[in-house]
Amino acid sequence: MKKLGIIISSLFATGALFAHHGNTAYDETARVQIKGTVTEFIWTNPHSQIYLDVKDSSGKTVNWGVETNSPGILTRAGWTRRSIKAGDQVTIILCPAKNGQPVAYAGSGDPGTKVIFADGHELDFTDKSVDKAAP
Amino acid sequence: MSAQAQWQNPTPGAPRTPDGKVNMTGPVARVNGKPDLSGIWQVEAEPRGPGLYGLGESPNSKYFRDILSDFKPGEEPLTPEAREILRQHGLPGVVGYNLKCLPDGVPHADLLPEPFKIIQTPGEIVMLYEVETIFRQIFTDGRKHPADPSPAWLGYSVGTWDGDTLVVDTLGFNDLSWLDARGHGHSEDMRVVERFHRRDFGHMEVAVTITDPKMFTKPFTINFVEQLLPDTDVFEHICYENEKDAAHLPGKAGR
Repeated sequence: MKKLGIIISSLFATGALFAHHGNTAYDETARVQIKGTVTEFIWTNPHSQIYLDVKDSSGKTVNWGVETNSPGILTRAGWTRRSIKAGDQVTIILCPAKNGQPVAYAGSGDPGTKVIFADGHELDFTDKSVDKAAP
Repeated sequence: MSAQAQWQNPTPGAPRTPDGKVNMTGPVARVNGKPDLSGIWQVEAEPRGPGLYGLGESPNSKYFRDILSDFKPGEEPLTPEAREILRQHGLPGVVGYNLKCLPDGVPHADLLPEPFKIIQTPGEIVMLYEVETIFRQIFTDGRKHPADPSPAWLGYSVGTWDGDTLVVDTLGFNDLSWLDARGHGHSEDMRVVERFHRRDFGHMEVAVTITDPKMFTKPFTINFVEQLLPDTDVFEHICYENEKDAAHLPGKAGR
């Protein structure tokens, strides 16, 4: 298991930032893995939120907030409002905040971001309806 | 709970390959002698380039970012007034109305990273845009534009057929929406002509010509492709439900 806060990949060269929904707060060129216990999953527009308790390197518990997609995008990615619940042990691969705060983004448009559950099943943010298309 | 996921509802009448998938190159159904444009459409994404970082949603059309991206820098057909508006929209803290949960305009709403649904009926074609859960009516009953339309985010649209291409002529816009994420503006005099050609079951070619003499020194046309999203739906999206971005954006302008 990778340790908290290790940057596991740097997929893109740094580029100009472009605000759409305020995501300039996140470093979308980086991917970080965190592991913890879900405290709340808020299924809401325009962006849903996952909150989880994560132990930092000193053993202190920090509550992280992970911003993700709208219920519409998540639904087409195969999620429901019950996909994550408080108490779930999860690992999330996400884009960290540039300012080092325990907030992050994981969602469509940022390949590789996903949620991995303790039983090994995963949820990502790609549109599953596309799998129904024969080119 | 049903075993069927909420998004998995077969597209009615879709041509299918033997494995049950939707044949994206299959034939287009016809109604009353015209192609049926009904379906759920999502603009074809382009690879994310450096300028698209920070969108935080699905990959986008380059025209989502910059409606004038076909022009070389410095050669954009902008009037002095349009250049000043673009400069003001680029100041720190200035954001478009769509980031404050107000609607996107035309053709930006066709270019979003979320889909829209077309419902084609005799005399009217309806577009249901997922973002902001807004609708657009394209009247195909032969009417003309009103003489003095009330300014509207999505304007007033009438549609006619040019062979198998639906030609949507829209005017009566307000001047509030931005044409792209970069911040190009438009005036109430803007006229937008969208030409929709469903070339096969899964693809619709769209050509959009924008004319606005106050903002652009000449009309220009952008071309993109909408892809059918098979076996799914559009969903409610009320942005103001939990909007938290504005408070975190720098500066006072644009609030």
